[in-house]
Amino acid sequence: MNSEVVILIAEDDEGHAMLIRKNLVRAKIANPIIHFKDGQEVLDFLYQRSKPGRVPGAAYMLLLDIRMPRVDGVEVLRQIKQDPNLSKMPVTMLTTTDDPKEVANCHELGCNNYITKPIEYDKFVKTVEQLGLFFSVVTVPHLNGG
Amino acid sequence: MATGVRPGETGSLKIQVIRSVVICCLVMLAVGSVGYYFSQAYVLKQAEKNITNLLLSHKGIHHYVQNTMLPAYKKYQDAGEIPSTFYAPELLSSSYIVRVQHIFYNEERQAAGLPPLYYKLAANNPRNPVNKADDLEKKLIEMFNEHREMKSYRDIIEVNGKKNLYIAIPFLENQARCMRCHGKREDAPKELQARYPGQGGFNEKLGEIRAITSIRSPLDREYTDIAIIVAVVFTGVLTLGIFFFFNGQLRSMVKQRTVALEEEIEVRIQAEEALKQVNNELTAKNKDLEQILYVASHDLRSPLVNVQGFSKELSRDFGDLCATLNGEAVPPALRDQLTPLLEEEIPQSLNFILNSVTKMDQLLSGLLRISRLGRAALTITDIDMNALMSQVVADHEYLLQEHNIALDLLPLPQCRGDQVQIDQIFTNLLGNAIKFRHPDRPCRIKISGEVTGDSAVYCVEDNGIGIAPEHQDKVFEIFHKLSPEIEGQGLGLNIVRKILDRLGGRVWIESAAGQYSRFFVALPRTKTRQS
Repeated sequence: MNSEVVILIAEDDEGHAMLIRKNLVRAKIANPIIHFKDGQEVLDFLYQRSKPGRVPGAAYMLLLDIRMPRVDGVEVLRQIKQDPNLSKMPVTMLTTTDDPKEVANCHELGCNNYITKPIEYDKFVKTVEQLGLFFSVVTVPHLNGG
Repeated sequence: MATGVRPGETGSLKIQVIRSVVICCLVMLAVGSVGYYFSQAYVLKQAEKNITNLLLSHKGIHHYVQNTMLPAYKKYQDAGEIPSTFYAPELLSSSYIVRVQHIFYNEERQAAGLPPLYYKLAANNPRNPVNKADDLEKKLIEMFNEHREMKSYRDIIEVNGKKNLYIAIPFLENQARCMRCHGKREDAPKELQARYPGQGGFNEKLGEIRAITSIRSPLDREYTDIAIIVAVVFTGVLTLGIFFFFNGQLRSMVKQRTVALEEEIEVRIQAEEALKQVNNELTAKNKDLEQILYVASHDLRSPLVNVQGFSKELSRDFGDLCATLNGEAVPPALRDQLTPLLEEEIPQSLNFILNSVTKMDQLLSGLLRISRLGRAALTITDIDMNALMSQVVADHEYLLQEHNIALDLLPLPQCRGDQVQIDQIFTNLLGNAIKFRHPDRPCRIKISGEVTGDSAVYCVEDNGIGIAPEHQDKVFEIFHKLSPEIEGQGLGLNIVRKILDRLGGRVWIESAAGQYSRFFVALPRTKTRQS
């Protein structure tokens, strides 16, 4: 994967975030990682309302948890995909829910893929590794400036 | 509610019946009497008319004799054409003429098929003894003389046990010309004197009514007519009476029933209202519980992910630690101290943690499935069970082949329900049949179904390990596993029952431990005609 790509992880649970990080590392993904604790923080970053904010022109991808305080994942997804500047960013939903309605909803909103955190840890590891591979295969588009 | 009469009303019913009967009898009696009286009056009047006609006719003849024949006789006597001594009753006696004429009249009547009419010209002092007045006739002569305005007398008398209509009218008043034959004996014509010795018919007074003519007519036919009329009227009234009686009965019965029904409806309506309320409360509570279930299962999952994740991290790191230590030069004393920890204690703890977490995850998954069950929308359609079951069997094809299971799928009736949910039911049941097969013999499964009343009842039968009677209720409990060694969450049957509750069906078991199990599922049958 292009080592420039910055991986954004929006996950309120520290444990989950830590596990994801560890597995990304284990899968040999060394890209920079930024961790956000809720949807609001992610949005502030993306809209450059916070410091540091998104660097215009840089490549980002987002691992987005659905259940978060303040602004949840679905809302973040909606805003991202409606914004012409951000809509090209690949978004992967991560969550423990496998409610078909939620899945359909997210796909409709335009997420790139949707992964249930399997409690089956080994599967979880495999999934994240696959994500890593996915990242390495796909050329992440540079986001529009501005 | 019992039909007909309520207890406590049989008494009043009896009184009602008795009262009605009594009234009916009185009415019939009254009507009967009135009817009898009036019909008798009418019928007799008719008979009377006929007799009166006859009597008047007779009187006419008498008048003729007195006013035409006798004056003519006198005239011819005076003219010398008839000797003054001449007398012949056949020619000159009105009573004789009428009497004989009447005999001819009766003969004619008999020839015409009519009964004869008895006739008598009765006098106190008759010429011919046959005309002697009896007691009644004496009284009548007296009465007519005293009450000149009375022109007839009528009565019903009994003669020889038969009823007769008796009518008498007064004979002519003695006129002057009557005196020749009915005055002094010496004045009468010689031949008359010779004919009738004695004082009979003589010494009459002028102006007196000396006799009455009477007719007696049998009333058999008339009374028969009366009887018929009365009988008809009687029957009519009786019928009406009965009709009205029963009408009244019916009315009151209907009224009673209506009142009873109305009360029952009232009670039912109230019960329905209460039921609706309870239903609403239940639904609300259910929603509540499902919400709690959902949230709990979800929110529990998050920390679970961490526990499992970091347990495995621990495992991994511990593995690395062991590898590192093994490679290092560790003093034997230290190694001896470390070994039990590294090889037994720590791995054991980690194992227990990991196993328990797995278990927790399974339980939570089960709970989530259950909660989702209640929330899923149902699409009720007619289900082609043959197609559905074939699919379920096909889904288990691998397992069936792997364990050499003989499955018998019989033709199944259609039912009505949600396709997905019913699929779930039989997936669970078939899965169980396969899972709980008996180790000592080849597994045989039979799936059949039939229509019973309003339901389509399906049966999944196996020759597996069976379920003892005391456990047959428990197997439907959530997370209950009779055979803990056989894999599964203990949810399958609980889910089956919950689905059937929603679809309006039932599930029950027939089983003998160690021999066989039959699971029966009843679902609403399809309304459309099955081909």
